[in-house]
Amino acid sequence: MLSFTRLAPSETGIQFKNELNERPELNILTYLYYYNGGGVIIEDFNQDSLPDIYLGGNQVADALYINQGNMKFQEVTAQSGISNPDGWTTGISHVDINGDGLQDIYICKASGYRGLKGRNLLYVNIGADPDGIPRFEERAADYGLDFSGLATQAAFFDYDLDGDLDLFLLNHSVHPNRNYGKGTQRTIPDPLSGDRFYRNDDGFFTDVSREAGIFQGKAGYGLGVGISDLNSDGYPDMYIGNDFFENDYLYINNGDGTFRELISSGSQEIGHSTHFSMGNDLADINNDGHVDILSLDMLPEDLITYKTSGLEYAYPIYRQYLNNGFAPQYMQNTLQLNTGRGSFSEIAYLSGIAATEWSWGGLLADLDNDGFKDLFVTNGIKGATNDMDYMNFIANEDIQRRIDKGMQDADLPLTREIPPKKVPNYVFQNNGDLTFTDRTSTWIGQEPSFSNGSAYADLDQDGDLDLLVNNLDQVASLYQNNLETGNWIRLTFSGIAPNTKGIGARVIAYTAQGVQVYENFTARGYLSGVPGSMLIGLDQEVSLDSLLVIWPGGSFEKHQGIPAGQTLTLEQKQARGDYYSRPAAQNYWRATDTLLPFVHRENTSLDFDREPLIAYAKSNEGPDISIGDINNDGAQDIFVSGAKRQSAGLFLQGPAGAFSAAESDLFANDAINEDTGHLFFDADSDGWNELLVISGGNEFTDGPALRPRLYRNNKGVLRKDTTAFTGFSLNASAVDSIDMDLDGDLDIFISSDAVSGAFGKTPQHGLFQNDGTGHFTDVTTERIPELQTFGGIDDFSWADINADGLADLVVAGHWGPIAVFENTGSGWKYSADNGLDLSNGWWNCIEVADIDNDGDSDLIAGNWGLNSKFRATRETPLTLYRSDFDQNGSVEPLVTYYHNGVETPFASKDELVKQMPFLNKKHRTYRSFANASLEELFGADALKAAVKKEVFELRSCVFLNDGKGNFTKVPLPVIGQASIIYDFLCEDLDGDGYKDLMLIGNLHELSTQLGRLDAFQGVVLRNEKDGTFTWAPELSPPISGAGRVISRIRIGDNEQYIIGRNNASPLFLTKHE
Amino acid sequence: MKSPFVFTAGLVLLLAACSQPSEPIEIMAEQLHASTDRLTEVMVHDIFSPPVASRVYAYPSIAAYEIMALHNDSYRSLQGQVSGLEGIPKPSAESPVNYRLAAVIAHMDLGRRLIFSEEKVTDFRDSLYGVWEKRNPKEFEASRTYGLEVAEFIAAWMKGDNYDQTRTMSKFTVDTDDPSRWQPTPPSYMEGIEPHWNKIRPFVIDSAAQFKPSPPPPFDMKEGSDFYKEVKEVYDISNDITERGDTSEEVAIAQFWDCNPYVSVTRGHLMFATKKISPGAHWMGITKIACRDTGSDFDKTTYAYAKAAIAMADAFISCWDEKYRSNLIRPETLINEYIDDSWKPVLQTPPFPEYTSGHSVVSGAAAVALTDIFGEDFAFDDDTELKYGLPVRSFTSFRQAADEAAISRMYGGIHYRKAVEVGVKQGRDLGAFVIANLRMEEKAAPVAALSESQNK
Repeated sequence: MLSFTRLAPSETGIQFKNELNERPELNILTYLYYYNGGGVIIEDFNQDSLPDIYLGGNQVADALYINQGNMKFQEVTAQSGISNPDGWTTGISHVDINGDGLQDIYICKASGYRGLKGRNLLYVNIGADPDGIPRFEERAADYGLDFSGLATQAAFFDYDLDGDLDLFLLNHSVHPNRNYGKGTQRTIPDPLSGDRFYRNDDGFFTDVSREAGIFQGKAGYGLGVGISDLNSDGYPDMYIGNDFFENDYLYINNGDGTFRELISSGSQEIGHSTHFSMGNDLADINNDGHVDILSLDMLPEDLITYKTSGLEYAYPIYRQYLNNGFAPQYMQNTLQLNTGRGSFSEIAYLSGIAATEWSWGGLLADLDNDGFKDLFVTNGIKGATNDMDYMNFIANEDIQRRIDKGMQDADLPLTREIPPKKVPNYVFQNNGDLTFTDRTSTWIGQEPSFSNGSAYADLDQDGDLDLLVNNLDQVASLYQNNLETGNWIRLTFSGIAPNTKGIGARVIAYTAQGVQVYENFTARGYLSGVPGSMLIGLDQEVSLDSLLVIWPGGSFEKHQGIPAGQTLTLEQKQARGDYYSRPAAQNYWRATDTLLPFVHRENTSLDFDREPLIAYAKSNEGPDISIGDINNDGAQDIFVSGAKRQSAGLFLQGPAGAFSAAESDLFANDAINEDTGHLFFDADSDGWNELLVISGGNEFTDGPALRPRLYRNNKGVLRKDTTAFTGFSLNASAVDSIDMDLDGDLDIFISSDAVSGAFGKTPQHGLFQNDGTGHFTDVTTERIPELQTFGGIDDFSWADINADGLADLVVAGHWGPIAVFENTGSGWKYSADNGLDLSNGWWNCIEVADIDNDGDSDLIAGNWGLNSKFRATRETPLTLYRSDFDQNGSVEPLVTYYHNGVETPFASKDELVKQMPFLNKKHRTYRSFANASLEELFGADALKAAVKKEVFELRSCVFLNDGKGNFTKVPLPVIGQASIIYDFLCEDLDGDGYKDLMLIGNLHELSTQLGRLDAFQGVVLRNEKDGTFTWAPELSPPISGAGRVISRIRIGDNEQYIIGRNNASPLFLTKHE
Repeated sequence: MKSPFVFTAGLVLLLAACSQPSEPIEIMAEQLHASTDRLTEVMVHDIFSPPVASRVYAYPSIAAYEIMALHNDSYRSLQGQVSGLEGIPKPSAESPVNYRLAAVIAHMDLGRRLIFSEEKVTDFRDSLYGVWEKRNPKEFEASRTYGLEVAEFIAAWMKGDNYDQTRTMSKFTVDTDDPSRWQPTPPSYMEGIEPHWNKIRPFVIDSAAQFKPSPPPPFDMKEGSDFYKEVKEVYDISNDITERGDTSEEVAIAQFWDCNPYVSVTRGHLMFATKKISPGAHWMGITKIACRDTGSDFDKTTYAYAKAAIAMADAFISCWDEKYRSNLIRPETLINEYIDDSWKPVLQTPPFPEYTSGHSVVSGAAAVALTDIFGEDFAFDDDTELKYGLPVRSFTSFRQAADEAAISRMYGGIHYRKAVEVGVKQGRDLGAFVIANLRMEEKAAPVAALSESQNK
């Protein structure tokens, strides 16, 4: 029994079917959006309080259905005066255009292309007749709304808060979609396909696109528009989804009649967006009071579909695309979690909703009334034009010549050879913790369809949301909600005319599930609109504690103790005051990136040119930051590493807390090194700090660029010791000192995380004994014999793990476990059976601290996280096979992962066959490749013979020590898995005596099949005193970019924190007084 | 006593019943044309880039030639003449090998190894095998055994040409900061193909850089600079000929010589590949035409294919060496950036650096090789592209065809003049070196080889 019942058309009376009728002059080969479908709106058009339905048809006439109650509908299109059989309907909107309290209908038409004629229509509601049938008159021209062009969808809202509704009109391009050209072309208006902004001037709509700052270029393939006050300043903002190469647009309302677009401005506030953007929805998914952005794309969940579909450009080509003036965007659904500080964390993979096939409309709505908004997705495409086999092998010469000659009726079957992807829609339940669970099979069932527009409404007035879907070549689907839902309150709005429906009103409900925010914007999903009323889910609560409604313009009103199960009408004339005149809460942190005259400049990552099969680059590791006093003046100085061909910087702190560069010439000599770590320490016990710098970066294989550099300190003057570490070179990852032999001087350990150009190969590390004068001897093999076969180490720490008074070595790296090498008195020995054995991860950092205040050393380890397509367990690991699969003398690193229980190579077919042409022999077509098992592709013997490394854990974790060196794993909370972690600040930030965590991370240089790990915008986790942590947004500072390291520094009399960021300037944080 | 007549008749009947048929298997030049055509078709299907395609033609052609030369004193083995090739194994004296049949079998087998969709070769092969086996199983079996033995031998030699090793070498790095360097081009923005082709072992030239051409004019987009003039010339010519429409002679020339194995086309929402033959395939087609026009027998045909294929393979190595040395940006990128952002070349820009023009170098070299075999002023009608919807074009000589192939790249808007003029010279110089250093025909041999019909 499904939780939603799909009612039969014979029962409901809804027989509307958006049936296509391909013609030689108009089909998928002549109009790229031929299969994009039509919209649906739900609203009460005849004032009987029952929501009615209007469905849009592309090549069939639209249809209006009046709700007769009990899920019975009557088609009244003709009786109501709507005569709209021609043209191509796309999006539909409802709006009270003239402030008479009646809902009017605005219809977008694609026209002016390939014989498509017509213009947008405005059907003004003139009231219902005695039979309850609403009557309409078409009056678009009277309002200046008779736009003619390639319209997609209209969104009515009051952008200037003058009390009337203005209009954003989304249009779409038919420009050849692969020639991306320059991003700047978005500034050149195109009359047919450029977006429009219309200001409502006393009932006439004036095109103010240019003044408003709207992009109107021919590259805007607009398929989605969402309106929300994203920054909670009272002014509505807009999110525009553009298909293909053009960026999405995130327009922030400046409040003065203009918008500023964030994504094209190179802003770090939004990391990446959907590439092939379709519909979107803007709603708060985690009840934190901030509205989040969902945008849909076409990433298949089905592995065979994925592997037979066109993918993103490979990294080197993608880089060129970005350089042409575009922002990062990837083929995946995106969920931009609003941090409330003007920035967004994209967490769709973390949430489990990144891949829903070729998707059109996403609706965020609380379907089970548990107080969290769930997700419904429509999808399916009648012809998957990105099928690689069709492109390369099926669309043969004959077909092409016939298309080129001008298609005839007899040629129409050609379009039917394009593989259709008829797939079930998706529904996800919100788990309330940023994640969603796929409930398709139990809620709506797995019935395949080509589904486009959709809307939700309580059609049967039983207190839950039903779903209506406009399908291609199939009768529209009505899903009646029969879930065991929680309690609810229905809200309707009575606004001051002309905005009679209170469009733009924001409702804040304070519930047991958190602060639920709703906004009364009706254009949602794809080409569609929902009623201007709301259902608020209360789960098991019998009443709503309190509710605040804020009307456009800022007047507000509070309601308390509202019993569940009733309808509450909110009236704007009851509201008072200005909600937005309240002072904003002060931030806990102050951040600045201008204190140090240094910007880390990363050179272009060539990792993917050299090793196209790998998942991530290893060449963007710096900078590290070291704090120490070099001139013994008592003030802390800063050393920050430079990337390859960039000098490292030494900055001396002056008396006023200002920093000045020192010894620039000295470091310029070694600019070629990509420095990855350094250390201030007194190597020769003369009271002055030496500086030891290590280099790596996967750029060099050998030689001086990989040699540790010791700068000796002669009373404040540094000089490079050219005799130190001669003959020693390694791709170093971390360095620290330890008096290992307790002889009073400091010995050195340097770890390595990679062998350059050999992804995943086990590197060598170096433990160096100090003779007391700062001369070092390599004693690794004698002291830690097991270390050289252990694998890569990205970070390590010396700490007494087993409370025996001796320093043990804790290491973290890629493809290996977190490991403790126990101090035996004469050396170090790998410690097994301590709870860490199967912790193999892609570990980047390790900290040692007492997390639970029980007096021992716990571990905090930063990993890859869960915000990518990768998941790993003991049974379904990530695996690296290093082998010369094609026997050409060089080793291929084959990385596999599990997708729904199937082990599959990570690298794409295109990349694999370039390296190993024999794969093309066995599997020339993409389908054959996609269907082949790993053994069929590479041979069981070759896989067996390969050097194999595995990852079982991708989450960042705390490991709690039982005091004897045995550990219990406690993963960080969900938000802590939103990106890769490179460093932690582990300090008590809220003054409760327990150490909290600030997370430092993000990595942009990934295979384009993975996108980017860029979701951290500054995250602090509060220690819950039992070894667990929770997200503390109020303690979280704004940190954008690719963080690598955080250090505490005293500047003048201030305690500050300095964060090293890759390819950016260091960021300084201070707590507000 | 039985009549001897009866006895004899009985023996004949007996033989007919018990022994296998033993008609001789006749192998004509057409057989080699068919096998070469099949390679071309499969390469079009499988999508082979031009340099890789030239390698696919070379090894099967050489295998066939070596078998033929072993049995025809008019031709000399390439042993010691092309890099690393040793004498192929010989069949035992008593083995009834049909050397022409063995040559075709070796040709097909090497082709099968080199392409991807093997079934497209094996289907073709098996139907022929069936015919031959029926006709004379003994001769067929011996020839097949020997042909495959030679194929194996040539394959082992081929393995040493560094092709496998270049697969794992680093991709070409696009340097987007240097405005003179090549960048991927619309609409597919494919990465630069075969950046390490100069590391492939050449056949006759001593190194990839032996025919290193003079460098292109220094990059300078100031109006009036030599380089700018070259860019502007491409733009002007393109505008001029497109204005005159698809019927203009220049557009016809550009399209005739396009020879781009993978042209990405967009129709509405659909993107697909228009797949055509490579420049090498076009010249193999011209070789076929020349052989047919002269009634060349199997042996001479084998010789012609081998010589043309070798010259072209070395030409690609030489050209690709220069392409990734000078690394020059394509006209399309510059014209869009500096002159006209909506300009599109008549032909789709292929995915590798501009200088020198590959088609020019290869056509130059192939024309020299064919002229050496068939003579100057060899007029022919080129119908190679008929299959791909293009007309027949007539030429008075191979040289004229090469010149037209070269200039077609400028009409096509994908090359500057310098790349075309220097390129065709680079190809001719290389071709002259190849023919001077290859002694394939035994000049002492009596006059010209007999034609097929005379041979019967």
